[in-house]
Amino acid sequence: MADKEYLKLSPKQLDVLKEISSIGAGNAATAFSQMLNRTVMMTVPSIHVVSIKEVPNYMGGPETLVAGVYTRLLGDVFGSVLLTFPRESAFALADILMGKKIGATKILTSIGRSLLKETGMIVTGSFLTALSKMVNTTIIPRVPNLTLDMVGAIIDYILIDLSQEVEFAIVIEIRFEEKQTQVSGHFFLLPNPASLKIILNAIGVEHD
Amino acid sequence: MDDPIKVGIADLKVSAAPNKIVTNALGSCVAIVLYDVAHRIGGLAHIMLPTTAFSKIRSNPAKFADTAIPEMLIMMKRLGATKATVSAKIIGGAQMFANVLVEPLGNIGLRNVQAAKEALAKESINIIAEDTGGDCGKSVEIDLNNGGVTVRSIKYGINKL
Repeated sequence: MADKEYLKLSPKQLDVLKEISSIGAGNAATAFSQMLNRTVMMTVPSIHVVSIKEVPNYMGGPETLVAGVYTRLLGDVFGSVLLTFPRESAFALADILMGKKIGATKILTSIGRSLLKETGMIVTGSFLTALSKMVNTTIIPRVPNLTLDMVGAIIDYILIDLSQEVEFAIVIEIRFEEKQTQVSGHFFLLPNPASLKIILNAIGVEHD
Repeated sequence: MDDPIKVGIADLKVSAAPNKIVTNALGSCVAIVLYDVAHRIGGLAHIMLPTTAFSKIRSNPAKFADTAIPEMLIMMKRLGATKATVSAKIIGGAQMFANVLVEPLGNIGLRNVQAAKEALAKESINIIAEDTGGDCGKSVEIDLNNGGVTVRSIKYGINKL
């Protein structure tokens, strides 16, 4: 699947992508809620087909400071998943997971970091479980990486990877929020061209 | 003073004093800054990949180290620069993730830096300063009044090159 085909994705195909992302997001929200023992809400996914250089603008601008959990996918479907938390949310999340009072974390310890990574793994894993069932394929997430930095610098490795094949990226974005503590975050799925084709084929909407 | 000229990913711009050129949030990408001290003309390229061999789509010279440098030189010459008085500074090429070595792309940041150095050597341009490698994102600004480069990062604050 090349750039031209990306841009030619039909409304029906985009709807299907949105639908399966929603089911995945629902699964992820449930897992996240259980983990925090609080209700985490997820939005309906939005899907952007944008030029690679525009991608950081869909993540709050290149210099936005975030804690990013990056997971690369292996198996039949590959691509990258990035879970980002604004700095304050990352700290609050670490507080909740360590049973501390919110505001206690001022700097991320190695335990805080590994808890955030685990959160990333659980949220990503539950999303992917739903996705792999729907498209009947195997998706294996690698061990996640955690980095605190500008989102543009975190995403550029993923964009470099994609730019070997395409000039455009499909960004599937899901926002989530826990009202009481105002912990919020973003879940971004960037499938590569081959896996997008597999997903659409499996759902049976490759040809309109 | 006008706002600085912005360079995106896989993008390049050239200009002259008194302007400034900026690019934000380099991770494994590399910023190549050229400056002609005699004519106060400079350029900044934000490259993603070492050479055109790395991609199926090769139409954008600003995407690759090996094509961005000659392209920038042509554009600078049009503004009145002479190659003999041009020098270079390179920034970026970080390894953002710890276990990146098991990834198919490997340490692409390091390869981008090496490719930029090779491409500059081919044009016989001296590298007078660099802030490369490491594990953090960087933003870069060149002041075309004097060729001074300011590098900003979360981890180290401001570094003047």
